[in-house]
Amino acid sequence: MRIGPGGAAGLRLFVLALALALFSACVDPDDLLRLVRRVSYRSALTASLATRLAPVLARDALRMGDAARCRPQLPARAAVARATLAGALERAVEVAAALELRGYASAQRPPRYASPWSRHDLRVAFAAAAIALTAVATRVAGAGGFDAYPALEVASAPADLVAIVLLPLFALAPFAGAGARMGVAHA
Amino acid sequence: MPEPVLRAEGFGYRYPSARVDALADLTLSLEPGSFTVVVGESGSGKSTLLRAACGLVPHFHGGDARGELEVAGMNVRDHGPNDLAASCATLLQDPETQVVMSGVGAELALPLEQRGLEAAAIARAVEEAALELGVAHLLERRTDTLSGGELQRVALAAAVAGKPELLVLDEPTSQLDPVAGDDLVWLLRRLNEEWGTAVLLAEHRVERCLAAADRVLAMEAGRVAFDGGPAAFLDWATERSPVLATPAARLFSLAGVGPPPVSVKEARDRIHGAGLAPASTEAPAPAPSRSARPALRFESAWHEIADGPAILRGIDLELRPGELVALMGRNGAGKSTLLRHAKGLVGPTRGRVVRDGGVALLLQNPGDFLIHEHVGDEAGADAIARAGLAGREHEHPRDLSGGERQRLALEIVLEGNDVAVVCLDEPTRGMDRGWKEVLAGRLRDLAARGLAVVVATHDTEFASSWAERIVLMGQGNVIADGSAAAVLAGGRHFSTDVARILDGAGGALTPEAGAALLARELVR
Repeated sequence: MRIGPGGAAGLRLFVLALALALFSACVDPDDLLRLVRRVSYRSALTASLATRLAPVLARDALRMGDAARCRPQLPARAAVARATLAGALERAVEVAAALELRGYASAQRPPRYASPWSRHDLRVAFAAAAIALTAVATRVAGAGGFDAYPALEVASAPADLVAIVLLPLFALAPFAGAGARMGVAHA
Repeated sequence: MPEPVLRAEGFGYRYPSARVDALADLTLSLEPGSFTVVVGESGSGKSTLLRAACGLVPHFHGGDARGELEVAGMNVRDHGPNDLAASCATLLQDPETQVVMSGVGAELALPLEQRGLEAAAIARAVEEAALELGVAHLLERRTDTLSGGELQRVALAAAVAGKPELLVLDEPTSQLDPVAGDDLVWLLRRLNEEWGTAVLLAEHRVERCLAAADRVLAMEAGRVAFDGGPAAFLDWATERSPVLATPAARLFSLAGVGPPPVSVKEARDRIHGAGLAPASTEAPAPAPSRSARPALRFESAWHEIADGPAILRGIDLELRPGELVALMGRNGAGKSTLLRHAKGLVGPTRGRVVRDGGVALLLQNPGDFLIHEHVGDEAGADAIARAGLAGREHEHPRDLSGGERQRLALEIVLEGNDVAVVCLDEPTRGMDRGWKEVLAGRLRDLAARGLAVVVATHDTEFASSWAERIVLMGQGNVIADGSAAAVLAGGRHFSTDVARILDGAGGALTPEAGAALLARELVR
């Protein structure tokens, strides 16, 4: 099977996005950020705020768009975009005040939490180990190789096909079973 | 005698670039375990006082502070919000900006982690705060799935998890519906009684929290104009500042039946005790009927979403020119969606909406309408004059007060040609009574010009002051439609304080109507 260069690049991006989406769907972002906060507090809190506030700002932008449609003459998109940005900055100032009030500037390293593993945690660990093992085994068996030039060539030998089937199955394993919940790994 | 949790001695403050002091010559002290409500009109200095108590003033806002203000023994001129955070927890108006983590459990743990507590101590504090604030069932939820009331409750739980000595709240109920707002006030009372946390709460709707308070501070032009108990405050407000008095207090004052009551229960008991309970069985007057062609008509209008319940379920409704209609109902009842259909921002999935002219819609946040750099660019000169902003064309719209933003936004949407219907969605959030009266006057003016006016609101006191017809919605249906007296006097939740005090007698909703009814009983 041969795929052109554009298709190959698109496929790579798709797989990368899919892997990150699956990761964020099966790992609690707050737990992840708590781990990172022990290393780099400000970076982790910034990431946390971005995660939390991105949908809020998206809602703000939708509201501004609706308000623009309620004006007698539809204003220029640039004016609405500028006002949306100004609104986001206003909100950022309010969030900064809220963080100050929580003692952000004198924050200390968070403690290490020793919580028992849930069924969901076990499934995530199993999936991660299985994906790593399958990837190593595939390489050791000489399968999974590809040529990116002049066009991506995907091998279709039996070992390649086994890897193609197993890797997605393992990636989806955390979502199997009654305890699986998107985004919260405490089941 | 325990040390006061807050002590001010000649404290004053002026914002950067301001010409007048926001706070002046403030001298007071708050005892541990006290529950103090701060009242005053917009711009009176309530929020500045609270922001000084938590250290945002002067450290976050800048400006000049003078005199002494100590919180938990720390002078706010030397100690900022970070230093005060362990002793003074603060909750501001907008719950969306109070919550910073993705999960509720992590949100409650964050301030404790920042303080360097051990994991076991954090786990216990989170559990206890969650149980106390009634959010234990939300601990596993993501914060972006919570309602406004739930979000504010989670923010409060995060604020009190560290057991602060003082809890400062700046109009925490202004973004909530009445049920969530009342729940929050009673949670505060419980925290105050069971944990001994001193509470300093600013609130526009005085009647909502007066019964829970030990003490009231009334602010005027940055100074404390009154400092005393709730009953004494009502005496003072009735005399000096009626706009701050509760509906029950105004009812008693107008009827001349003794000192103002602090709560609806006290008012009802005293009226029954004095044998003044009106026995009127008159049917409330119906809404005025109009025969003109409807300005707006919903014909079996449905709004169904693909992966959720129907928001509107076959609405049939007509609005005629000159009608003053209040659209009421709990959060999620379909009020905002109905107004969006009226404007045409969304279309019905079944049925239809027929308009006999243009529809002007003012959405909930007036700031969303202000998109230019200068007030003068937002609307024409006439509209700016009608908004009362003539001479301020060169100011930035974001420098306007909440009430001014709203007046300007209303005039912007009314600038269209051929407007036949005016819709406003929750226009009174965070507004003091003075602004509400101004807005009610503007609504009457618009109706007198022949426009149909429909306002979605939770505020029964506001609705009773201008609406002639109430449309009550529930689960996407119209569940009551009649004159204001017929709908509000017979309700429990959707009712005014005066109607509750008088058990709905005579359809009296306002202090003026109630006082007239009581006067008739006094004559008998």
